[in-house]
Amino acid sequence: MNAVRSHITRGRVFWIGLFVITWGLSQYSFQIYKALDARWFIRFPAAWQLDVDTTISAFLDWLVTEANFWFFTFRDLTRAVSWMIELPYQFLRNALIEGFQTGIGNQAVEIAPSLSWIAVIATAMAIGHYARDWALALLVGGCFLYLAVFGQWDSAMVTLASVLVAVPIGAIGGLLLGILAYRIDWFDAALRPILDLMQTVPVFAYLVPILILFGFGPVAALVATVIYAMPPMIRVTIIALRSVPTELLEAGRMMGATTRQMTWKVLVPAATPMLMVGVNQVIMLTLNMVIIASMIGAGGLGFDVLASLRRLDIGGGFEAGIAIVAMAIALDRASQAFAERGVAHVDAETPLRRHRWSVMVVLVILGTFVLGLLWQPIQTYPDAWIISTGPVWSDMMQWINVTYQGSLGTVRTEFIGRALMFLDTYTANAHGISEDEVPAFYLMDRNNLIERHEETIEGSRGADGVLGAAD
Amino acid sequence: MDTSVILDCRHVWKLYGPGADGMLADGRIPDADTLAAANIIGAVRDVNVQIHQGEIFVIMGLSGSGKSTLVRCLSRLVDPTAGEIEFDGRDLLGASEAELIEIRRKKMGMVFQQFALMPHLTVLENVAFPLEIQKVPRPERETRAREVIELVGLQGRESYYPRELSGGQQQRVGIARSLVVEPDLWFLDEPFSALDPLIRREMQDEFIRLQNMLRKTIVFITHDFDEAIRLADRIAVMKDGMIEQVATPEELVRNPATDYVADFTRHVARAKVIRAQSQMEPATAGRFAGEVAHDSTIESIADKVESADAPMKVVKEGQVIGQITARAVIDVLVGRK
Repeated sequence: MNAVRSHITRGRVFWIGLFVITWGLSQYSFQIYKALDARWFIRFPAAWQLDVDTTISAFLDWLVTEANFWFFTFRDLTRAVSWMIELPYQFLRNALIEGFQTGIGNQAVEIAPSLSWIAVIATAMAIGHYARDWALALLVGGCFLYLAVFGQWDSAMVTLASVLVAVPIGAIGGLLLGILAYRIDWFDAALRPILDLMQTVPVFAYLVPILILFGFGPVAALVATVIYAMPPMIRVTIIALRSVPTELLEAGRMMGATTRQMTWKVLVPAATPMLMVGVNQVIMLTLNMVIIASMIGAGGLGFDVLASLRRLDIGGGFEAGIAIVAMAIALDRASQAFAERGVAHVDAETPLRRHRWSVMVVLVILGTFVLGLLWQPIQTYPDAWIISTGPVWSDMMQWINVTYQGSLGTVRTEFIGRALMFLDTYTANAHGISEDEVPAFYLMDRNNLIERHEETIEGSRGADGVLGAAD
Repeated sequence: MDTSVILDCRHVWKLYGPGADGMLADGRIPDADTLAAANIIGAVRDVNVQIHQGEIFVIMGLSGSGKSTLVRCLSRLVDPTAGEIEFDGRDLLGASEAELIEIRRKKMGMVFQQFALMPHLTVLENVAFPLEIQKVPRPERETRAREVIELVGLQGRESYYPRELSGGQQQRVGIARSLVVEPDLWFLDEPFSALDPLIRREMQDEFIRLQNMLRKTIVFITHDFDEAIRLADRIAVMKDGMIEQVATPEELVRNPATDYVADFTRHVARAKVIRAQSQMEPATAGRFAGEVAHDSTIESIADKVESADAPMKVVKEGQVIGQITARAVIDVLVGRK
């Protein structure tokens, strides 16, 4: 008897009990529901569902219309944030593409033009050379030249302005939060679930609240971008600071460094190569998000892609898409090169030689400014020189559609037809009915389904027609 | 109290593990078995050492013996679980954070096994770094740094970054950096262990040269017994967190206190350690072939004494304190007791 009892442990009783209950419920739940007239046994009662969605909406409403902290309302807060983001963003837009003006509308007077396209490319190349070598300078320069030659310059500069605002905010904000988490344990513990949340909640879920709080426009898009791009920086910062060798920290303490000196003179500089990996991530995610955020007013290349999609303008979408890729390559390679950049000693040299690249960039900016006044193409890349690949892409898609219309159509109908037939057989076998009864089983007319499918095919042909008309 | 004691460390303990503090409550002194039973690691156990002004005090032990933890307790990089440490007449364990920063800035220097140089700073900036922390103006700290760089023989490399230097050169930077504040107490935590044997030897010579110039008070950690013998005025041999013996190299070799210490001393070239005065006998000869200093090693006088046709005088501060014979020298050389 004892031998039997020794086999009955608490764990075994639990698992066997759980199995019996589960099996019993799955087998007899319908009967129990009928017997007790307890519908909750089958379906989770609607009355028990929490109205989180309406609560959140109400909360957001309250936040926007009524929330009042001691000295300011929530509106004031969002306005202040908007202003802080808008200011540098507008400045960069002016500098890169729009030029500086006073006055509004027709009275607007240009004070200074934007940087010339040559100056922007030269700056990008100088950064590439500083980060690594001539090869990188040429790659970065080539990517930017592509933007000008293929007519994506204006949109690309708007996107670049967004990136140049969002990346410093994301990188510096992430660094500061990361340092706090490294220093304060409970802050780290509190931050982790929030980071998980930021990284798993679908972007579209917080695009709308941000839209409500900040209104449609670049600021809302930038806020969404920063929220999206910051978490990796925080994580990388925490890891980078933790991987600074213990001896280095001890050395800092033995020199009598204060906490602040430890942070800014020992920890952060020693972790810089790894922190740059985080910055690279921020740049890439920013670029990624700037596209999605075009739905709430980011403008630039992302907007071009979105607009082309809406117009079914395949060529236009392709061009803007490839421009994004070109920009991503340039920014990614340059920031990676910064992360890998090893410092080497330089022998004594004159200040002019030491800063030859900065000097050159300033000269190019000033030179193209003056020459641009004399000859417009130096200031703005002339439309006449633009090569458009848009029609090529559209033609190609059309050609594929026309040439392979028959075979593509056969593939589509055949594939779906066979898939449906397989589904029929499977369902019939599974439920012990004849194949003829399957459509009725699903309460759906099979022919109806196929018809609907034919309609979609017709629909896409119609779209081809639209494309043709657009050309 | 002996005024020449600069660092006095009494009954210092460092225990790691859950409930470590409770182990030492009410002045209990747990032994190794008690600690093991409680799952507590006794990194440093009941250590008493006095470090005197101007001496090289070597703490020798194999890895895991607690020597690194002990030196971190002495510099308070690690807070000891129990005990008292007095530095320069001040209670080091009672010092506030601000006092500690002040003590470390002005009075302590430390050299690390893996050099612990700032990778983003040049040699000059690295050496000047402790002064930068103290907010010394740039021209002043760079002048001072250049002096120390010259002292360790790295002139011409000021603008190099650490990764452009060899291990030996990097450690010279580490040494220069720890000396730039002119510390009273100089900690060296296995400074030459990460270097190749040839470079290590060269760095030891360099270290002896520096010490002859600077006369610092030094706490030197090593796992290399030969290095300890070579450099030390006194050696503390550590095992399992406890000090087995504290003695001069010669005493250690002549009278090892435990079998563990004897294991180390067995293979040491005794002639390099034993000095003339401990092999001498009362001066009875009528005629002497010459004289030797009382503290010269047997190795250094062996040839002279052995080839002489009469004993030699052993002299200390101008006084004849004994004589040494060829036989006594040969006893040491062949390892006869």
